[in-house]
Amino acid sequence: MRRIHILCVEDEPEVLEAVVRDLAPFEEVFPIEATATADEARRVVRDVILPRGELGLAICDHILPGEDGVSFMVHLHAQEATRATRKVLLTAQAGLQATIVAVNQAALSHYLAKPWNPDELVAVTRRLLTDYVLETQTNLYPFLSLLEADRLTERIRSGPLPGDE
Amino acid sequence: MSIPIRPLDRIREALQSIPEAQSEVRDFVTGDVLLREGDNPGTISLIIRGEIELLKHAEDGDEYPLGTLRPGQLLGLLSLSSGNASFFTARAASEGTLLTMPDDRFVELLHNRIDFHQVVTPLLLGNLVDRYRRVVRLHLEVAELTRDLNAEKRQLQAAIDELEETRNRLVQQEKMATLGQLTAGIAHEINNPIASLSRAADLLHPQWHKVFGEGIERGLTPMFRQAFELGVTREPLQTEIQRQRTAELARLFPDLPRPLVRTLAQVNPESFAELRSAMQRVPESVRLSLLSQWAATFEAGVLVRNVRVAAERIGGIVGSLKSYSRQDKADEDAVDLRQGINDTLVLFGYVLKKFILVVDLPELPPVRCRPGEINQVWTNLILNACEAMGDTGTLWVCCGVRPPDQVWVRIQDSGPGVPRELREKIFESHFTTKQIACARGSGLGLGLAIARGIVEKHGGRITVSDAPEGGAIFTIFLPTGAAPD
Repeated sequence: MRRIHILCVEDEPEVLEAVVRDLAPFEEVFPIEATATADEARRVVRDVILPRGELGLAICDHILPGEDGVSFMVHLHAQEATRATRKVLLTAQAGLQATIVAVNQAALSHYLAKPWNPDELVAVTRRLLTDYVLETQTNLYPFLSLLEADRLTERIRSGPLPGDE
Repeated sequence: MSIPIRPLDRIREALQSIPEAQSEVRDFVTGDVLLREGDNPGTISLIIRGEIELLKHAEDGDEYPLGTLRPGQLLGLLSLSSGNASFFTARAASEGTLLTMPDDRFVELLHNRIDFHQVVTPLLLGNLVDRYRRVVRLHLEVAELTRDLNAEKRQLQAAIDELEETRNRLVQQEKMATLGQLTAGIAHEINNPIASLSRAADLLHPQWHKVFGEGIERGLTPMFRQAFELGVTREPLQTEIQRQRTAELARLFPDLPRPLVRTLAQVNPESFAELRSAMQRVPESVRLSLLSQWAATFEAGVLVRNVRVAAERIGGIVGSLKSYSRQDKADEDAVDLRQGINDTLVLFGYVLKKFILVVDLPELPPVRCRPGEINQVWTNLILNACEAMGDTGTLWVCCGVRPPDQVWVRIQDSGPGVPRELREKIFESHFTTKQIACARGSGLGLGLAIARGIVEKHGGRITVSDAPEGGAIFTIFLPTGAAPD
C-alpha cells in the first residue's frame, strides 16, 4: 500500500526530536521522516517518500541553514506530486513578508508559533491529515482510528457502498 | 555726448507758453491721491515741486512702495504709452506742484509742434534713463538679498544636519540604555527558572538511579540503568545517519513499531548488540514489552539530557544578552573585543543561519573602550553584510594585532561590494541602499554613520575596500592604549 508520510524539517536536533515525539501516535499509519535542512528534505521527498507513497503533511521551521522553510514549501506547492500536501509553518521567527509568501505561494495551511502546545500540534495534524485523505483517498477505512472519525464516516455514509456502480 | 535738459522752470514756462497744450498748474498737499490704481488718468503731469510716492495694492490689502517721483519726472507716462489703466496709485508725500495736460493734447503737440517736441523729448529721455537706473539698482539689490538668503539657508541646513545627527546619536544611546535595563531585568528573571531547570535535570539523573537501585523485576536493573545512562549521554545523530539506522533496524525487525525502531536506532551499535543478546535470554512472550520499557528508559535519559542542554543554552544566551547590552556610562573598560563579537554572533544567530560563517579570532590584547557602544559597531557591520548578501553567501569575521599599538577587526562579506565612488558616502547619515520594503533592517541609513561615530570616538578608524574575489571588507582599527614601544 502507498503510505501517506509526514515530513518534519527543523535544524535544532532537540526540537526536531520533540516534534517527532509529539507526532509518534500517528506513525502507526503515517510514517514520519525527519530532516534538518530544506535541501535534505527535498532529497528525502524525492528519494524516500515519493517512491514509496505520498506526502500528506509537511511541518517546517522557517529559519534554516541554507534555503528557508517558506521557500521549501513554495517548492513543494509547485510540484504536482506535493501540491495537495498540507503545509504547516512551525517557527519562532517568520516575518510578515515570509508569512505572506507562504500563504499566497505555498497555500500554507497552518501557522504554529514556538514554543508550541503539543495538544494543538496533534489536533492540527489530525485535522490537516483528515483534509488530505478526504481530498485524495477513496478508501477511508484505514484512517478511522487515527483521524477525525466523524468527518470520515460522514463521507463514507454519503458515498456509494462498496460494489455500487 | 549728452542731451541737454533745460532747467525745470524754463520747461514749465515753455509749456505754458503754448496755449494748445491746455496745461494747467495744480498744487497738491501731503496725502492727496493724484492717481488711483485701475483708473485711466487721461492726463500727463510734470512734477514741478514736491515728491509723489507710487504704491501698489496687494491682494492682502497691504500697500507696497514702488518708488518716488521727484521734480522733472512725469506722472501718467506709462498709461499714455500703453493705453492701459494705471497699475499703481500715486499719492503726494509732500506738498508740491504739478503741470498737467490732457493726453491727446500731449500726443498731438509732440507730433506736430517742433518747439513742443524740443522741450519734451529731453524730458522723456531723462525720465526713461531715471527709470532704467532704478531697475538696475533693484536688480542689484535683489541679487544681494538672494546671496544673503542663500548663505543663511546654508547655515540653517548645517544647523539642522547637526541637530539631526545629535538627535540620532541620542536616540541610539537612549535605545541602548533601555535595552540594557530591559535585558538586565529579563536576565534576572530568567536566571531563576534556568537554575531550577538545570538543577532539576541534574537531580533527576541520580534520582533515577536510586529508583533502579531499589530493584526492578527480573533482575535486569543493570540493563535499565545502562539504558538511562545511554540516553543521558547520547548526542543527537545527524538526521541522515538516523534515517539510515532506522531503515536498517526496520529491515531487521519488521514487526517493531516505528517509534520504537527510531528510538533504538539512536543507541550506539555496541550497546545495541548487548541489548540484543540480553533480549535473547528473556522469554519471547515478554520480549516486546521489555524492549519498549528499555526504550522508554533510554528516552527518559534523553529527555533529561535535553532539558539540561536547553537550560545551558538559555543560560548562554542570557549571558550574551547581558554582556552585549552592557550598561557602561562614561567609564571605559579594558575589554577583550572577541567577547562582544561572539555575543553579537550568538544574538544574531537567527540572521546568520543562512550564511556560511567563518570566524577566526585569535587572542587580542585588551582594548580600552565602552563595550556596549563597540558592540553596536559589530552589530551594524554584521547586519549590513547580511543585508548585502541577500539569501546566500559567506561572512568572514577575523581580528589581529597591528603593531605597535592597534588591533583590527575585519568583517568581510561575499555580497556585491561597495562601488569606489560610494566609499566615502556610505558613512554619511541617511545614505542608504536598502529598499524601504525590505523585510528586515530599518533602512534609515544610520548604521554606518553610527558605527563610524563610535569608532572615531574611541580614537580608531574604519575603512572599506573590496575583496579581490568580490564582496566588501570593513576593517576597524582601535588603539589598545598600550604605550608604543
